[in-house]
Amino acid sequence: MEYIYSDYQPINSKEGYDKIYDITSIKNSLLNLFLVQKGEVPGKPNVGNPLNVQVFDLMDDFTEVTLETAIRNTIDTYEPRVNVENVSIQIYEDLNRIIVAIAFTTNIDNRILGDTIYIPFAHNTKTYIPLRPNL
Amino acid sequence: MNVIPFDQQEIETVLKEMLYNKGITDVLYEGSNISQISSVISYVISSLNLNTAINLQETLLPLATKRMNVLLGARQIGYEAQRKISYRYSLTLAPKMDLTDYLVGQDGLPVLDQAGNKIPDPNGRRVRMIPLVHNTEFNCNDKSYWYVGPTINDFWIVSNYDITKAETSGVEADKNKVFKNIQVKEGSMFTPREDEILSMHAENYQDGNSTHTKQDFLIPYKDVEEDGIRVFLTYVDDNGQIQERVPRYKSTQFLIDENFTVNEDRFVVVNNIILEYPVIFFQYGGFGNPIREGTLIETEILVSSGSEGEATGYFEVESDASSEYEVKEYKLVSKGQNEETNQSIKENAVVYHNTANRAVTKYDYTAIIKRHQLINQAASWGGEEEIPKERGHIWVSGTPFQERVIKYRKETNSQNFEIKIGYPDNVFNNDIPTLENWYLTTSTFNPDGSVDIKGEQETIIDYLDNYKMMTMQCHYRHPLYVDFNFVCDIVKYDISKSVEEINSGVFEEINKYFLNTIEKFNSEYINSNLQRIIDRKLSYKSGITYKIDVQGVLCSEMIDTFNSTLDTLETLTCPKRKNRTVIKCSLAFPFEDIFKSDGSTVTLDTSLVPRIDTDNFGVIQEKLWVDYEGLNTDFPNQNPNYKVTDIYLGQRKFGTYVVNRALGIIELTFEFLPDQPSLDNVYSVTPSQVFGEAYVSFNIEYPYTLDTSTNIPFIKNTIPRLHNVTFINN
Repeated sequence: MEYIYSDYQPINSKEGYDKIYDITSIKNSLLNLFLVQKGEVPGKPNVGNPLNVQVFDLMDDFTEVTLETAIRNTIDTYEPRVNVENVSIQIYEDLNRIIVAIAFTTNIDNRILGDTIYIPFAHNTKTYIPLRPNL
Repeated sequence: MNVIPFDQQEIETVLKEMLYNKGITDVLYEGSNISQISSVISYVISSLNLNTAINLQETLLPLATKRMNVLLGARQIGYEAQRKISYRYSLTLAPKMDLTDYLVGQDGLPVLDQAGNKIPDPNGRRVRMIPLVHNTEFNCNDKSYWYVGPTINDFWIVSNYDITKAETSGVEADKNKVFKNIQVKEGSMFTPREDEILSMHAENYQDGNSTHTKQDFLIPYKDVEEDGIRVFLTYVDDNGQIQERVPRYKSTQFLIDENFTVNEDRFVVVNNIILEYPVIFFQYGGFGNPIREGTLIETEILVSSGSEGEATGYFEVESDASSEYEVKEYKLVSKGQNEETNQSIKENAVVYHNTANRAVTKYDYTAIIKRHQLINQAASWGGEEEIPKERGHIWVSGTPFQERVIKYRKETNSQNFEIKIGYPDNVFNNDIPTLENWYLTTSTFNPDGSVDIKGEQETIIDYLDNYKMMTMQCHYRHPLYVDFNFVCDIVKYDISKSVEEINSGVFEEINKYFLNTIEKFNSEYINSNLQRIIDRKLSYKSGITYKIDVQGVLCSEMIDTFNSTLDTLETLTCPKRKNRTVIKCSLAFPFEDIFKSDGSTVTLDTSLVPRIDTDNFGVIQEKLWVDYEGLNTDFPNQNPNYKVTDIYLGQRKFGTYVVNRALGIIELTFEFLPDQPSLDNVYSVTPSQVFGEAYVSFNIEYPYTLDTSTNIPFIKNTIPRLHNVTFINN
């Protein structure tokens, strides 16, 4: 089978493949955009997690809207292969925690495929950098 | 050789392209693993590059050696290196026509009477209109030359009668009607007809959230001539009308151009340093009138051979036009040149940056003129340094690029090295001096008063008009070449080498010293410097003594008409008269050498001023001499800064010799009988009594040069030159 998209496997991958393809590679790429901090990629100060602007901010009525706009802008700019179908943001104020779920579809060789990724995002905790979920 | 790009982004582009071709397609998306790895790799390479470049000092313009780095360094300070310049020729064209004056039928054959004779045309003439077409090609050997001006439909409206008359009678008026001059440029022409890539469309592109129309277009040709890009735009204007092939012109200045915002029909050409292709910008840095979306851009490109584009033979008209007209003769307008050299860029970029694109100080003028492609060396000085002072005026002088050929002659007891400038190889064997290439040309005019070939001098003055203050008046003065002749006597030769080898070595050192240090305006010849250089070459085993003979070179081209406009005290010695016909030259002197001070008063030691006495001067072979005793008298107005005396040719007055203490100048004014002499004219030498076909030279002797620590400074339009080195072999 011919693959449209191909990428090298992520470090510490358990699957043991040299390459990842199509929907897996797209999902990995999407996650990378949220796992890399802005300024971390040399020479590209704008690539990276857009959610960090909310760190240390108070949770209010605008938090959800701000985060959704930032997520959609980032994906539009850096991951044109993906159509964002839905961004659901669950806020747990007592735990200082937000969980973002991005439902997306992608068109690979005229096959429409869809999936959802989850990004846990914790305020005021020692490790506020989101943990890498299983692919 | 492929060179790794310097910039991180360029490295990344190359790297990503390579990975994409390997099948890792995700490299295009910033989130992918491979894209992030390539960002890190290119960053590391870029920082290594930077470290290496800094260690090698390639980032500093004066120390850069790689062409790309020199160009980048120059661009940082707003200087663009010049591209190739084509040879330009002026061609005299004459129409071809059947010169019959008998009746011709529809079939083009003569109409015959019953007896079989041709019938005379009752009007005696047939008139035709012959056009001159844009991009007409002319050939000379294997080179092509192009007329790039606009199409002129009525270039000739002539009859067969006119042509016959012009060719046979030689009447000037008829010749002007028939023989017409055009200018052509050497190169290979490429138009959208030959190469589709030269026809481009202005498309929109997305930058963030905003949409822009592309304003920069790469032209994928190397060696494009400096003025070799013509651009025609086809677009729909504000009123919905289609505008077809509207020309846009190249901006005369790079970046800042006062015309750029006023006449909004320009484009800027910037070289892509890595690809070596030109890029045209319709809008650059926010300046200029942008083109609209969908505009069709058609470009015509002239690829130049630079200095190798000389015409050697006869010109032929290419294409259909060859049956219409022919080339009668041709004249060189300007020589072709290759790209600006690294050395030239390094020198010019810095001084040009200091001018900030305007001419105010005299150094600005020099820097701007030197940037012009016609000029090798340049000098400028203000009217306040003139005698008499002419405030509000500025003088410039320049030398063209010259061919410097070394002629070597060996005789039984001497060896001679002579430097020839402007000598074509084929006149090498006879010693006819030629003035070709010594001076910038002046304009030549057609009999009707229009300019035939615009001279290099006028081009320079016009060029300065773009930069100078409008109230300043600019004048050009030819350089005065001061030739140095050396007679060397090597005391003891090193026996391990041949005499010729040692002599050549010493000559090389003298030649190198003159080329690198002395042959410039405003330079200073320091004898002890040269002595030290030669001594080092010869080593301690031998020694050398040498004599210097210095001569100023005059020619009839240097004669200038001069109108003294100011009635100041300085004009007392040169009374205010119109139309003075003079040659002005300036010698400098080290102040301490000829003025003696006893604490309160400063006196001029007349025995030490430079001597210009020359026996057998000029065509009339009389003695040129100066009344040096006249310098002892006080200046009539008690002005201590000036001492004036007369120059004589035989018994006739031939100008003035002025010692100006304040400026450190000795001004020689050779004055001729003007065409319309006034009553108080005291000068009676005519140019024909002095100048024949060749130049004439006068001796310049510095009495204080007897000691070896001598220095001879040069100022204003005076430029020294090595002419001859002779070795006497005992």
